[in-house]
Amino acid sequence: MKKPIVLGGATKYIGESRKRTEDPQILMGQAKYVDDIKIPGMLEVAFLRSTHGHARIKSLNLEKARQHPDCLRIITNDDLSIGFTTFIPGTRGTLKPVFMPFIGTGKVRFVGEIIAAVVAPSRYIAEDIVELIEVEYEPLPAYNDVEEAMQPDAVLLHEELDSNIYYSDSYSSGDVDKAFTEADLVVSEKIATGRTSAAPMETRGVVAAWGWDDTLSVWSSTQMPYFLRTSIALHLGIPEQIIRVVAPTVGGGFGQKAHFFPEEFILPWLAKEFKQPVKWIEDRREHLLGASHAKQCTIYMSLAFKNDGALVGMKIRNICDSGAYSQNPWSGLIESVPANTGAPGAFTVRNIEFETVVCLTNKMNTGAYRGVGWSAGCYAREMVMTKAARLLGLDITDLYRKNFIRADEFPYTTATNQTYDSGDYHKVLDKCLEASDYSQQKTQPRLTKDGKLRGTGVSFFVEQTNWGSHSARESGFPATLHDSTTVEMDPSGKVTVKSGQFSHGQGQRTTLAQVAADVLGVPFEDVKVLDGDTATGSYGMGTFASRSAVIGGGSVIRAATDVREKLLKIAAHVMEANEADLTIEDGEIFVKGSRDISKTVAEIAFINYYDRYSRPDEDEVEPVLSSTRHYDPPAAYANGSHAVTIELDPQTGIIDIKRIVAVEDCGNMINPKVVDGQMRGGASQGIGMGLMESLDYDENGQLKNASFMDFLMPNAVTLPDIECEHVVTPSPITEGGFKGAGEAAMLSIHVALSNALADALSDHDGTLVPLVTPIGPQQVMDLINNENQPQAG
Amino acid sequence: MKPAKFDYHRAENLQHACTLLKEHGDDAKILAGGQSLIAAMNFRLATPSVLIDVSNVEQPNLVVDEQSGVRVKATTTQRFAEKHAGLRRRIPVLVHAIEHISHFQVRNKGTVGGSIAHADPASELPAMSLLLDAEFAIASATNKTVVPAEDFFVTYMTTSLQADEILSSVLFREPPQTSGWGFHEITQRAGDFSLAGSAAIVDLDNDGKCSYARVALFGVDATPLRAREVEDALLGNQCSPELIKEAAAGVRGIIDPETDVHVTEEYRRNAAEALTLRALEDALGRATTD
Repeated sequence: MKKPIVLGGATKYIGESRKRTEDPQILMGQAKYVDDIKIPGMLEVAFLRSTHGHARIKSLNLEKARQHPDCLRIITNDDLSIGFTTFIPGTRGTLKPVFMPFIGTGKVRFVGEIIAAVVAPSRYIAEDIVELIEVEYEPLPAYNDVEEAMQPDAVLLHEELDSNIYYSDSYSSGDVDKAFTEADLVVSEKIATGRTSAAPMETRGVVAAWGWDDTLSVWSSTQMPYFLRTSIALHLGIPEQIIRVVAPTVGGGFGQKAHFFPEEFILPWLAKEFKQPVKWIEDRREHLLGASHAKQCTIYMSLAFKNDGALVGMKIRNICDSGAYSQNPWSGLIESVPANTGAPGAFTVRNIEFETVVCLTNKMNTGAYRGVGWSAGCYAREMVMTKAARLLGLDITDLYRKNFIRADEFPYTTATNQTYDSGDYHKVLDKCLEASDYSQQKTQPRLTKDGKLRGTGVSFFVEQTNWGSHSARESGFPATLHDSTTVEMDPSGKVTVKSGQFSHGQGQRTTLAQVAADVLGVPFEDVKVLDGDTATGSYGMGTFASRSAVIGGGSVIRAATDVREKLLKIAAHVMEANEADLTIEDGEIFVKGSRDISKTVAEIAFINYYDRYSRPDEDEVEPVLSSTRHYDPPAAYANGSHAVTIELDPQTGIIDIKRIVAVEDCGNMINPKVVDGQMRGGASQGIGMGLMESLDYDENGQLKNASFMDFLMPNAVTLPDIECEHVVTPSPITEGGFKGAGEAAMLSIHVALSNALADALSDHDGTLVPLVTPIGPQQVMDLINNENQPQAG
Repeated sequence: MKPAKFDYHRAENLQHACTLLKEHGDDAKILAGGQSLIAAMNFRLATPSVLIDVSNVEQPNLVVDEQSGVRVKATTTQRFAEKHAGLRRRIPVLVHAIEHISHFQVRNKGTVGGSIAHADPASELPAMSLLLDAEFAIASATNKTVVPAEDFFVTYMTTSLQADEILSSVLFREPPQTSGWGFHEITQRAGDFSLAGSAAIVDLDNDGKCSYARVALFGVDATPLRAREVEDALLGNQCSPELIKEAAAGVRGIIDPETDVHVTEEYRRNAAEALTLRALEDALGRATTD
């Protein structure tokens, strides 16, 4: 492994809390989203979606619908040249193929599955026509409870398989039996995390148009423009270079838009086939029914402890409720596999065995959502640890300190073969406890004077970040993931960063510019970042999985370093100076220590392009001020801690969050304000998962809350300010010393929230610990009444 | 989520609306603020072929003092009523309840009459109309009648209004001047439909005995309910903590709540009791004896 580039101590922009350059347009409503794309002659698409959770389609009659005077096209699976997704990069051979058809045929397996696509002059008319399609269903038993679907006599969702379980594996490290035999305390619980949706403010949407010059343009609300381009090319059977994919402004993705969805194939197919531009904008009901779900796992967790709190053994059985199909591209492995490989968390436990089970149910597929696997896995481990702490008469923070990997033990390879690069867990925990007045909170009486119960909880997490091939492999996915970035200087000395990653809220148009400006020594304002468009970027995997600061930032460092070196070579020639003596600051090139003789970056850049008589000979220095560099970094592991203080109404079960403190160590920060934004956004979503979000299906596979009236997410009035603190231990192995920060809070804050609830109830019963998410008012009352048995499904 | 095709008529005044309604009958729906109807139409749960928009009638926002209370024109927005100083002074519980309806953006459009005619059992205004002995003025092309609130709500989102009838105004009765009020509801997030709610008005005589009591519940049955059993337990009695606790427990037997995606029937039963007790405590705290 090459040594990482260490940036000089005096960075000017890296580390600065700059306001994001992309914000004014978004805040003033000027940003353009997919729905703002207007093309003359554009038609609209609506889908007929299954109303049954599990049924055979006995007949599909399009006659009445086709007679509608404005019906232009109706297509079904029969019309498509290819029925299934075939490109599943980086999955495991032992995963049985249960791909989702682009359009359902023969059988439907969840409510919301596409059966037909209608093209009409407007969405209104298209929906009228959808209502005229006649479908005759033969209902089959639908599975909501994953453990029922696992039974040997269960009706099969996919008849070509012999079971609804389509992936399972097991792993063992150390001497688990010995650890459990010799333990002073073993705590075993069943934990069930609820089914949720990232539900970004902007739903999905696709516009596709076939051009006069035989090119295909696709606008999609995606996190992965290049992956989408490759997927479209493979499935449409057309050359990739004639396809342009644009992700215009995207109103949030959170992993949910890091997939290849059927609609992203059907719209381009329609545009290519009929040579007419088409548009589909997902409505919220479609979104909750048909955009990937997340985080529903049933976990059996046994932990073995010594009396002093030492965690000596773990036994885990993690069952992922995968929904009806394996979601492309991450597959059904997305939850349970990373949950189990990340099971040790911040702790030195060496004896671990786990079992991973992925099973089908009649629900929308489980896909990626901020904190994949870990949101559920960490919750299970931590709740059992909290219970153990109570039984041992210790505080959870005692257990943390007893079992933490120490700062002097890095790099540390866990019992699941993940190599943590850096951190100082004790310092981070101490900072969180101090900032939240933890010990003082603990001494206050639980009962407040207006009859509420006060509680404070803390949590700690280690987050695997920067998903390139190495992080993916350490997580259990043999995927190839990397990015390239082009840094280019034009004759005016201004810089363009062409990225394959894509800012849909993460702020790379600011942060990557900060990195490039520092490496090149030019003003921030002189750097422009282009992203979200395959016509202007450089091939990359996109933005997801806490990867962009490290991989995007790292490839910018590499490419900008090349351009800087080239610039200095030319300047040395022009200025008749020694290249090694020159430096660049604020757009000025001069001999270190003396600004008497200097040239501006713009002057040298102009000479490069327009003065062959002043610049070096072309054979010596090619007059190209551009570099494209790749980066696939080693895995870096961030860490952090949360503290949450609540007041609980013991009669209604309503939790009022009074205070949230978040501490994060993501290594060197490019822009602390952006990191704070990630911490706050993640915390908000984690509170949602912990407190209220649950997509509930009934026994027939009907989604009972497919609207924002009944699917509750935190809103502005739910949350207090989220106080952010930082500890910085730079990664010794990544360019710039960065670690990722995007998902952190979703590993942890719901744990702190549940610990706060357990604390609030500790006078009532010291061993009451929540074992489900979300903990809504009903679950709180069940907990108080000792009826907190997790209901799988 | 686009509505099916419909015709749209804009009524210029009540008479015009009644005429349009007579003409289109069962196919027509009255559109006021549209905060419930339009969502239902977008989901195609409601597919009226004709909409009669009453939100642009002359002087849609009108709150008038009457001897016995305050008359609110049905088309008055919730926000207008909420900000009306006279209404706040005479019937503070009503304004307090309106503040709990969704978010202010919704109250800017949503109307007092619209919410009552929509008759969602979990919403605040139908329950307030029971609590405040409201009278509904109802008009049709040929007739004008008055219906007491207690005869209006039939079941979920169903009222005694006939296809050709419009709710034109609501008279909310002013409670005794020395009375106190209480209002409690449970929502998971401020602005959500309540999981359960209870409101109370209590007045005391010179001996400190309960001389007036009203208790109304919402979100715990197919319609909002007036809890006469609770009222009767209080009337004529000294309202000791034990008595109001016992009285509040009386709601358990008179409600028939549902289990839904959020909470169980049993949760609602317990909540109705707890909230009624809190509403009574607040009401007694605010009531003055003189």
